[in-house]
Amino acid sequence: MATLSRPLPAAVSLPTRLVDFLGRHVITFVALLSLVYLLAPIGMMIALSLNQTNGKFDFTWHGFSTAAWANPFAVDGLLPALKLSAVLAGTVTVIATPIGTAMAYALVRYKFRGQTLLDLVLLLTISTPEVILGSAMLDMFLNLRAPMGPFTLILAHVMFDIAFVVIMVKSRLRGFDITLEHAAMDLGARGWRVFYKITLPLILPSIVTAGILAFMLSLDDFIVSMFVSGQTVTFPLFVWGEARVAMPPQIYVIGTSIFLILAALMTGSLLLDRSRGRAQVSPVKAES
Amino acid sequence: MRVIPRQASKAAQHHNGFTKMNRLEDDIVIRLEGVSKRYGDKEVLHAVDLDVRRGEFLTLLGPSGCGKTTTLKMIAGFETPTTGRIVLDGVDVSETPPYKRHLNTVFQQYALFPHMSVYDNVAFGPRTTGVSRPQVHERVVATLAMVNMSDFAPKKPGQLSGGQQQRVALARALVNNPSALLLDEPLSALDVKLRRQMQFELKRIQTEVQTTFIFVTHDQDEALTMSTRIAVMNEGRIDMLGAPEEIYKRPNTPFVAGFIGSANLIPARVSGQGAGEVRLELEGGGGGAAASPAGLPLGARVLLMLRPEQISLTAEAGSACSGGSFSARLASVDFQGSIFRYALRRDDGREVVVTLLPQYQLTGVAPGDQLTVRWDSAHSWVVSTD
Repeated sequence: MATLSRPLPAAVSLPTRLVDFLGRHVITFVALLSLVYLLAPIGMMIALSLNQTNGKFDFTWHGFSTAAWANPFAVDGLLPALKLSAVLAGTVTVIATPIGTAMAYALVRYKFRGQTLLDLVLLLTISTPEVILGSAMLDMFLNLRAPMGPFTLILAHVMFDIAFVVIMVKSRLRGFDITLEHAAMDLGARGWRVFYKITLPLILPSIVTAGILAFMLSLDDFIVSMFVSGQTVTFPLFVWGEARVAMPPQIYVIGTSIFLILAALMTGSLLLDRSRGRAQVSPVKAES
Repeated sequence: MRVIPRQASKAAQHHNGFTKMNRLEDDIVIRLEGVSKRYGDKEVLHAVDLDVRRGEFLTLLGPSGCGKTTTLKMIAGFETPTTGRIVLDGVDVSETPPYKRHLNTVFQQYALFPHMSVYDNVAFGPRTTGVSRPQVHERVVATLAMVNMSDFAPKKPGQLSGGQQQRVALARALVNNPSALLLDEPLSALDVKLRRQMQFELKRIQTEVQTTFIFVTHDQDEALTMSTRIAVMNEGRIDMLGAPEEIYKRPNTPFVAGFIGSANLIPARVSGQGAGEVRLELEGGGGGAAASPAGLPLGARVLLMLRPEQISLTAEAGSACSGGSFSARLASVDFQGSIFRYALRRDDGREVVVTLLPQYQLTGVAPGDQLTVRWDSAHSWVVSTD
């Protein structure tokens, strides 16, 4: 062991102390800077939702106003677009989450032919540029003479949402202790009961998180929707159309609301996960 | 599915057992017939035969990789034998899935359901097998009381200590009143003191419920303390099956002799035969009589097993009247609390260890002194090397 007590120099110069301080806190500074960088657009959005507007395009600050918040749906076409997007995202989530969960379960629990291929396809779905996916789907739907609209939107959104759900649930299942399923089987439970009573409750937080993500991805989607929506106007498409002629603060109000709801949901899911985490059996050292 | 009354009738049957011709057959809960297991090219279990008697505490003991856990998993139904049959209560269950076998397992890491209370964990089995609601409650309460965990019923497993989780795991398995309880190194995650305590606790519970326990461990102390019988496994085979004392005193292979307790194994040659014993000439000098299994031919190469605590040490030369002796040089003496450990070196370089209680310690000897090691033939054993 080296010396236990290090004698402090009698006097340390101010610059040295400053450098020392910076050196010790450099990570904190970098973290704070990245946080500011990430939050700046959101802050901008919130600020603009509270702007007092004069013209059609008002990107300058004219004073504080809650007028837009008081009448969030005062813009023509905004409410129907938002409703449509919400219903679309809800439908897509309800379809994609169970399918994605089942696929994740199959991929983790069973060995089957084409497993690697399936993994690859899922990855491709996520990594292929959306513009290409969108135009390819447009091409496909045109060839199939499918009527463009809600139906094609649902098909397209479910397709990319499944991939995200699978990847999220899979990572949770990988960390799932298989002996819990064995224990349930040992106690007389068959496949379905094991899943329903043991596996599902334990992976539920990740399914919920995946569901929220799926909902947001659908609500948020612009590129793919642009290709396959036909005459249907989703909220992102509405904003795009609107931005070319005017930019009412109501759009920022909706944006801010979505952000706040999402933040609340994420916090809730995090807290749920943490309270369950506390109930987890403390991992004991393996010995074999 | 059988329920509680089975044991009562079983006990009655024991009393008038002689009237039944097939009593012996009936007393076998589980029978392995030529069970082997192969993973790819590797055979981890070689045609094992084993009868598990009803109500016994049978331990599968061996180092890691000896096949003990694989054997347990096949009995439980998580693995299927490559060849051979597993018979449970007279029925071939080799291909039966775990949920249809009337057996329960206590897992190494307990595998308690983290999202359920202690009560719900224990109630899982009876509820799943369709036991009526009041009966479930009655059985869960009784079983939790037996493992002294009644006060913890509403807690989640995550709020319990390792020892408490262990008790819950035991209750969750026992509440189903299985034909046999399978325990896969259940104490290995506990610290030494708690493990010791749980050994006695397990033994008490086993005596109380009279359920057949099949216990897997690599800890020989654990095996000796708790078992009715021990099956010592080595490289996918059962080397020896017998009562703890038998295994300790009369091991049949060098592996068993070395794995259970500590043993001095001294190479020797049979130079004379007697009733239940043989005369030996030790390699490197010395010799005498030692208890042995029957049928060792003259001239056979064997190992003389001497337990460190069962041999004596003197500074004088000469042999004990009913045993043998050899000489060795003292290398070191260590005080280990309840015993003194003497390490000696024979002329051929082999080490011999003798442990003596403090009241018998040798005075006036120093490392380098020539000493005589004596054994009594009743406290020695000859291990055949083939």
